[in-house]
Amino acid sequence: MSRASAALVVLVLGGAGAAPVHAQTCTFKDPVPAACGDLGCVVSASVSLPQRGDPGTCGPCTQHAQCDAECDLVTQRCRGRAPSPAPELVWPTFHLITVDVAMSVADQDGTQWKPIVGVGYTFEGAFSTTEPRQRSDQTWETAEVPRWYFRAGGALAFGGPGQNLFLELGPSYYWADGLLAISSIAATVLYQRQGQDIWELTDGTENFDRLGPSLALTFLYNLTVGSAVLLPLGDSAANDSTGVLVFLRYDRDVVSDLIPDRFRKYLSPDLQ
Amino acid sequence: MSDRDRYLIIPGTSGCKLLDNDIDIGWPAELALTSWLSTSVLERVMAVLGVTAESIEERLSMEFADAANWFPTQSTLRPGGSITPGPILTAAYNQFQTHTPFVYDWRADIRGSGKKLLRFLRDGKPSGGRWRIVGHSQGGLLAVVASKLAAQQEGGDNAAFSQLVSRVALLATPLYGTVSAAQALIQGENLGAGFAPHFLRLVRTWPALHQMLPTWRDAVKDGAGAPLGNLLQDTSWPAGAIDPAMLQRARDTRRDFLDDPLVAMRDVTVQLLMSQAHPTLNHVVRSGDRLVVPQIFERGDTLVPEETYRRSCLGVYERQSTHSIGGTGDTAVHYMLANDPVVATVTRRFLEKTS
Repeated sequence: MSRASAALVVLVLGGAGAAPVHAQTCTFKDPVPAACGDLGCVVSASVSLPQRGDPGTCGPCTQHAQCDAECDLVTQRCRGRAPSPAPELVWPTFHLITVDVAMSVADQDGTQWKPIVGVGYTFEGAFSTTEPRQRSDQTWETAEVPRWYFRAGGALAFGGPGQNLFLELGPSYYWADGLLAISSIAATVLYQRQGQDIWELTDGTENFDRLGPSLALTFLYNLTVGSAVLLPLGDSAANDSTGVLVFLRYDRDVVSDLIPDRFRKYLSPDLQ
Repeated sequence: MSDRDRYLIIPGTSGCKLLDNDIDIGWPAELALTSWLSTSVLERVMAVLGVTAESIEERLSMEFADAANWFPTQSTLRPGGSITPGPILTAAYNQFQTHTPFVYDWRADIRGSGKKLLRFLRDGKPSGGRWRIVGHSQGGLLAVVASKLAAQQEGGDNAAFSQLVSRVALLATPLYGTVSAAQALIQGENLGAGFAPHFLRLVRTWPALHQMLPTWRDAVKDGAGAPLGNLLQDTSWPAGAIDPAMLQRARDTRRDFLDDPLVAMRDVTVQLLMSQAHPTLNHVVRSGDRLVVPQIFERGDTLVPEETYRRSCLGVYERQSTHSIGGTGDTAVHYMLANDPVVATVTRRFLEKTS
């Protein structure tokens, strides 16, 4: 006779007024089959709000919580269920399609007030992977998560002074509990190509290239504010001066999140 | 897996805009600002502009005249108004922008929203494929309700939901409630301290908040730390502190839909994703005629107390399906958790799995 059947017999006999015997004991919401076979773990009705860890006795189930997964309410026997697949190792990544608004605040012609508005994409990939482990209570845990990522991004802009291509690469630090809602800090290298015909690779009269360090803060995973000092690459007739760029980069949909439709008409056409 | 499977995201509380007669009412940013201004020194200026604390309260309040009805008699008390869900707030879900959003009025009865979700899943079921769902916070509860409704409508077949859905990621879903819901009903400072008296009145008309009240038996303690019960019990609340009809509605919802939350997801691959990176409330204190929210925390995501869930609430199958993420402060807080790179990647990977 299985332990489950024995427990059932004990309960039935007990209910019929037979000599008192001890039913098989179990712990509520701990693995039931080990203690009760296909019976449930039944907590005394006198216990208010039964919860995990309460003592119980094996018996026909009348509630799903008395079983590991599910009670067949007709047969009053527990039904097993295959556990969900174990979580896998992952390489954390982050993607964002952005609107980029940049302004050159110190250039050969001074500040260019007309912003360079473009469309961009930012990718971040962690420098390490995660490794889930199973705990003694059968839950899974990924306790160590990456803080360091590399950022690779780019933006194309056809407004403002000619055409612009921006490319960015460098490390970023993920700061989930950052001050002032900062979620990451990135120190990258920013490349700018600007001109009338930026696709013409050899033209030094209409286009120029600059490269330099950039520092950027991202707020709430959506809005990045940064600045870069851009140094000229080679000789260019178009522009051979160092420039300072400040930029704002945000998720393409964040404006509609924050600003109701009826106010959006007040935004500049570029931002709309 | 079928290539024709579709991906769905169900946002959490506050995760989509609200429209009044199809006009964006400015949730969350504008409403938070105007609520604050309408009770500040600029109160008179706001009144000249037609915005008062009373008008905001009226607009956000609902009416459920029939206690047995899952759907509101009025979605707003503003005369002539009608509040409906608007677009998802992508700022909180920017890693799931390719997923189809299911939006709902997150103030309303979770059962009514779950019923709408089930209809949406049936109407939009891909031919030859199934849905793959991520439900964040209250959004996960809607998936639970939809699964139970599907089972009920198919003669108690707990595998009925699996005809529509192959995978469900319940992301930071308060399956057993959250003290944050109680905090909103006790303190009401969600739209600013000055607006609290108004918020306390309006939030008592929102069934969803009541349906997310904590269910563990030491959710209410006395001053000495002894457990007094959970927050679904009438006796836990001081007289006049809560609408008894709303509390009954919450108990009915739990009994019929939220207890044993994964039972009707047989043959659906499920994962419960939680964060354990932030201090999270796990109880309130009954002090005489008052409920107090003590600044005592455990590990969680700022809303779902991960330790209490594992220690007291989750059953065996639920624990086997649980994946807790984060150490100390290294994962996004609850309302931004879907943007967290690790959580988002784990969720996407889980949903995309082929077996």
